[in-house]
Order: sequence, then C-alpha cells, then structure tokens
Amino acid sequence: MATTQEAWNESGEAAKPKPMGWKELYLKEDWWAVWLGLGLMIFAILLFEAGASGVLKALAINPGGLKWSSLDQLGGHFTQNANLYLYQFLFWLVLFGVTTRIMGASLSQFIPAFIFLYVLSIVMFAIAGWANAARFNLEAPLVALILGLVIANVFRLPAWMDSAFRVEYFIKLGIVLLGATFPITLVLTAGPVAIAQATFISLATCLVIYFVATRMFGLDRRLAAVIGVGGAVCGVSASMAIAASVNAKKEHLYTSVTLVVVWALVMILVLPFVSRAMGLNAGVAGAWIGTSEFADAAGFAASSAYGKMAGNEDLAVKAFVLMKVIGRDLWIGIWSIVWAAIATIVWEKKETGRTPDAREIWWRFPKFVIGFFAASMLMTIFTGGFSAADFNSAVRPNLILPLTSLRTWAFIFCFLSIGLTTRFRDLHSVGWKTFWAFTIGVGVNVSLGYMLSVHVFGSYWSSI
Amino acid sequence: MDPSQRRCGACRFFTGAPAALERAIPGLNILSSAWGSVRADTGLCGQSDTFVTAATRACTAFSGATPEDIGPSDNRRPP
Repeated sequence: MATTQEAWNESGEAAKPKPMGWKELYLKEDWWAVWLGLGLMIFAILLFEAGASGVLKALAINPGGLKWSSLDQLGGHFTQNANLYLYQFLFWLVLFGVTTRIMGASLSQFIPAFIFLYVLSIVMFAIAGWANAARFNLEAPLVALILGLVIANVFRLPAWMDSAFRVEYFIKLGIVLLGATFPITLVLTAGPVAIAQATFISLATCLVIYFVATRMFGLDRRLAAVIGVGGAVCGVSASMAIAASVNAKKEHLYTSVTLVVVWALVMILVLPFVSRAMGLNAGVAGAWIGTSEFADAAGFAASSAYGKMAGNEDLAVKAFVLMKVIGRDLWIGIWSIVWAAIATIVWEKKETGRTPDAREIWWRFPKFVIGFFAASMLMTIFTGGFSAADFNSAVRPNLILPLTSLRTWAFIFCFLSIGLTTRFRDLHSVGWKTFWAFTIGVGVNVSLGYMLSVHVFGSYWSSI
Repeated sequence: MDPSQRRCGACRFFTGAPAALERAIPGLNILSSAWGSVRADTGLCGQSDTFVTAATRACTAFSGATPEDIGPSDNRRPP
C-alpha cells in the first residue's frame, strides 16, 4: 500500500499515489523472508529426496558444535573446510545481496559490509564452539551483541555499512526457517493460550504507560500512545505502525526508538541471568521473555541465550515465538485501527490524521508470519509420513539439523547486526517524565509476564 | 487536479522511501525496519514534521513532487 514512484503524471501535476499492490511481494523484506525461507526449505526437501543431503550439510556448515579445546584443532577445522566456507559465503552473499539490491540497497555498500559481518559471524560460531564456552557464559547471542556494541561505539563504523546489517530481515528469515522445526499442532494448541496471555499483558502495559504519561506527567497524548504501543506490543515497529494513526511527530517516534532500544538491550542482558538465578524451566522463561521483550530480534537473543544456559534452547525459543509472534505481533493492525479510532472519535479532530480503515489489519500484517505458518505446515505434512525411527535416523540429521544450522546463521547475523547498528551517540535524548512513564510500564509488563508465565501458566509452558 | 484528490504520498514534503526514512530517524533500523510490512505506507511529512500515510488527504501546504524529488530508486530526499 506504499506509494509508487510515478507520482508525477504526464500533464505535469502531482498524481494521486498508487498502492504498491503486487510490488510489495518484492519490495518488502517480509515477503523476501518468506520467499527465501520457503525456498530454502523446499530446496532442502528436494535434496533429501534425491539423496543429496550432503550439499545442504555443506552449505550449513559452522564450527559451533566443534567443541574445540585448542587453536590448532580450530585452525584444522577451517583449513580442512575452507572451500565449504567459501561456497557458503557466496551462497549467503548472493541470497542477501540480490534481494537487498532489489529492495533498493547499493551493492557497492552491501558487499564489503556483508564480508565484515560474515567474518564476525565465523568468529562468533568459533567462540560458541569452544569446549569451555558455557562455563564462561559465552553464549553466542550475548557475545555477538556485546561485540557488536563495542565495535559500533568504539570504532565508529561508517553508516553506509548498515546496508548489510539488516536486523529485521535476518530475524524474519530465521523465524520462517524456525517454522520448519515447529509442529503446526503446537501452534494450534498453544496459540490461543499465548494470545490470551499476551493480549492481557499488552493491554495492561499500554494503558499504564498511556495514563502515567498523560495523567501523571501531562505529556502529549500522541507521544503517550506511541511509547505505549512500543512498550506493549512490538517496540519501534508498533510505534511506527500507529504513528500515522495518531498523527505523531517525528520526535515522538525518535523518543520511542531510544526507549525501546535501551530497555531491550538491558533485558537481553538481564532476563537470561535472572531466569537462571530463579532456576526457571526453559519454556517458562521463553514465555516470560516473550511477554517482556519489545522486539523480535531482542527477544530471540534473550530466549536463545537462556535456552543454551538451561540446556534446552529449542523449548525456550518455541515458547518465545508463540508468545511474541503469535500472541503479540500478529495483531499490530488492530492496534493501529484502535488508535486511529481513538484519535478520530475521542480526541479533538484537529489532532487526528485520518479515519480508521479495517484494511489496515492486512496492510500492516507482518507477512513473514505467513512463511512461518507455511513452513510449519509443509514440514509437518512431509515428516508425517516417516516413522519415529526413520525420522531420528534419517530425517533429523539430513534435513532438520542442516535447516536448523541455516537458521542459526540467520540469527547470528541478526544478533551481531543489533550491536553493530546501535550507536548510542545517535539516539535521541529523552526527558525524565517520558523515561519514567515508559519504565513504569516496563515494570508492569515484566511483573505481569512473570506472574502469568511462572505462576499461572507455568506448568503449561514447561510442557509444550 | 481536484485539491480534494491530492494525497500526501504525491507531495514533495512526504518522505516514504525506506532508506530516506531510516536516515531521517537514526536508530530506526536497530530493532525495526522501514522495509517491513508493518510500516505499510507510513511516511514523514517534512512540512508538519508528523507521520502520515501516503493516502492521507493532503493539507493546504500540499506541493506536488517533481521527478527530481522522487529520484530513480525511491530514495526521496527529505525536504
């Protein structure tokens, strides 16, 4: 539904903007995540059926599972597999380079930046593959985030490198690939619980932030709405989605960016260790992180890190996805409509930008979720024809594990990109009233999430 | 053109291109993206400094965009 570039008609006057329509299928990263994720999955199934899974395993190579104990051992791995890493690099470079170019990125900027990202990712995997990594809490998501932050804020990378540090694109691809290991039956059975829990907490958090901001601190209600959904639904993406609904100012969104980024980073680093100190089950912690973290990428980093600490990454990530993606992200269009209605009907007309439009539910729908559902259904159907023994002896090592490795690559690209794009000096200064309104909401969000995930639905999330 | 048919997306003050939006709001790309579906056609009005959609009915400050404003690859410059 975005504008086309043909806004200047033949008669020389500004034309009415046309909907993006089908162009969205190749101009939005959500759709590219769907095409790449499903394409990779189908490619993997075809290779498996043809008995050529070695190709897929080669493309999915990483040193994360090496458990090396000496640099000679690590060096030997890279020397022995140098050609495979070269093919893999070219594979990712072509996939991401071509698609980001179609979306408008410059290849002269993308290629050098992606080389840098790939090399750093290899380093991350190598650290994660050290035999003593777990002993020193060197979980790949946390190390990637911290290393990225240090590089971005100490060495001042040029801004053009951001063209390859596409946090959202990588996480969306990772989520679609995650669908390949996510039984559709789990989505159908656990989805309603996740939606109920997430909706309750999101509503409470948004209302708390809004009323604290407006009633206690007298802040602009457009700002209150923008940071309210930022803290309650899905961070900056939610803030941007309702910004036009309430006619928010640029500084309102800029403020939301700062608050969301700072608190999301704090929670990535804190929630896994708090969960461990409490001895939480991986599924319970994943659900808690799913209600507490604002952004998908940040939540994945936290849930994946804790899952590794607890020895069950799969469970933590699954609970997180159910809570965050199914429970919160899907409904962003409805939030946008509700705020447009409030702005139009309740607030003064002069402050409103437009009237509510039900079609926004689809326009603002995070389309990558379609890929997640499709991957889940496709793999559930495909693997349904195998016995448990065949699944474990053939399907898991030759199809599921290589796809999981490709997904991990996408996540490592993402976690590094979070750090590499976070330049604290670029963030907007935030007033104390705004900070406290948001922070009180965060406190409510985290507390309610803990209560429901641990005490009310604890047995449920630990057994999904 | 009938003034009532004018929309923000065709105005020179409208920034709707993803790259331009991410330049206009540093940090937007850290945990979000201007290339995502969720943004839909939301863009930034350089005249009022507020967010509008491309389909929003234009205000009295409407000024038609020129091809130079729009550019060849949707990288419309903020005014």
